[in-house]
Amino acid sequence: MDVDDAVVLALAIWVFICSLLVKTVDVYVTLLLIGLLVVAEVAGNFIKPETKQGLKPAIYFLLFVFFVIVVKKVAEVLR
Amino acid sequence: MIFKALTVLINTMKIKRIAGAVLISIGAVLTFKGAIDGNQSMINAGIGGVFLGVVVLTFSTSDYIKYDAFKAVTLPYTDLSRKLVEVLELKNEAVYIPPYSNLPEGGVFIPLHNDFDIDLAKLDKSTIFITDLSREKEMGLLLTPLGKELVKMYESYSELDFTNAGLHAVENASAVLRSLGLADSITIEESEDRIIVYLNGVKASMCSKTCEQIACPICSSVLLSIAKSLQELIVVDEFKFENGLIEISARRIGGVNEWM
Repeated sequence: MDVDDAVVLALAIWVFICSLLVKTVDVYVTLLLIGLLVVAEVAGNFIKPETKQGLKPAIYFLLFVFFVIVVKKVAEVLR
Repeated sequence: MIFKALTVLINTMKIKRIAGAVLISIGAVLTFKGAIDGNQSMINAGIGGVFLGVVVLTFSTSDYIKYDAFKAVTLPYTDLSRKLVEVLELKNEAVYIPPYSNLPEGGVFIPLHNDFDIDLAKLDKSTIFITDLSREKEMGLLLTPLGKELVKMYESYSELDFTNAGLHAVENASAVLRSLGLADSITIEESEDRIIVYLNGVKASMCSKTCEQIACPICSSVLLSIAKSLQELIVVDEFKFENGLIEISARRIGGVNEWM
């Protein structure tokens, strides 16, 4: 098993655990973002630079979703 | 017939891409179905599927060849270089030259005499046999380092130019060698002008005494990285091998300007 396979396997396990334990979409997406950020940071030195660049759009998309969730929660509190 | 067609399709499209596309499709269907039925768990599972599909597609760009294939492709070139040194009766250890204006990728100089001298101003990319000289001390063989492509990979992975970066930068190479399955770790010790490199868990067992002249791409890349990071010429003193551990003793012999 090479590093790429280990990264995909780790994320698959994380997604599976989150799917079992989390019921709401906002918490679930936030946990996926955390998993992806941790993997990108920990395995960053071991994966190809092109692959690392390829992960960035997914990270930015999830960060955008996270930002929307935060804005929604702030709006709820203010109301 | 159908099975054969499927095998051809899988081989041409690559299994990881197919897996990624299938995961995204299943994820999208599950999310859609979950949204219609109002089933939160199904929506989560669908999002997870799409997420994993994207990750698998991102990682599908890496191509690896089998270790046996790597050896079969690399060994003849290393043997050819070693044969060249043997035929030319060059007995001295190699000198690793860091990249400079005449040799942008660096070089390996194997001198004809023990008491050698190098005039870096006379060397360039198109020179191999340095024989057309009045001083016999400057004669020898100039080769492109076998590990130059690996050095590019080290720099690309660590997002760092090794030029003048110091010896600690070279230790970044161990992460790349480990991820490529070529070696486990690199440790470098330095005392005055002496440098000792420990390469642990080297998978390609092509080492021999001739490594002091023509090292394999792995050892060559480490030595070239050291020369580049210090911007000094490095002369190899000794190679020792023991159960996957390679110990390379080398010496700094001065910067590019000193040898011009």
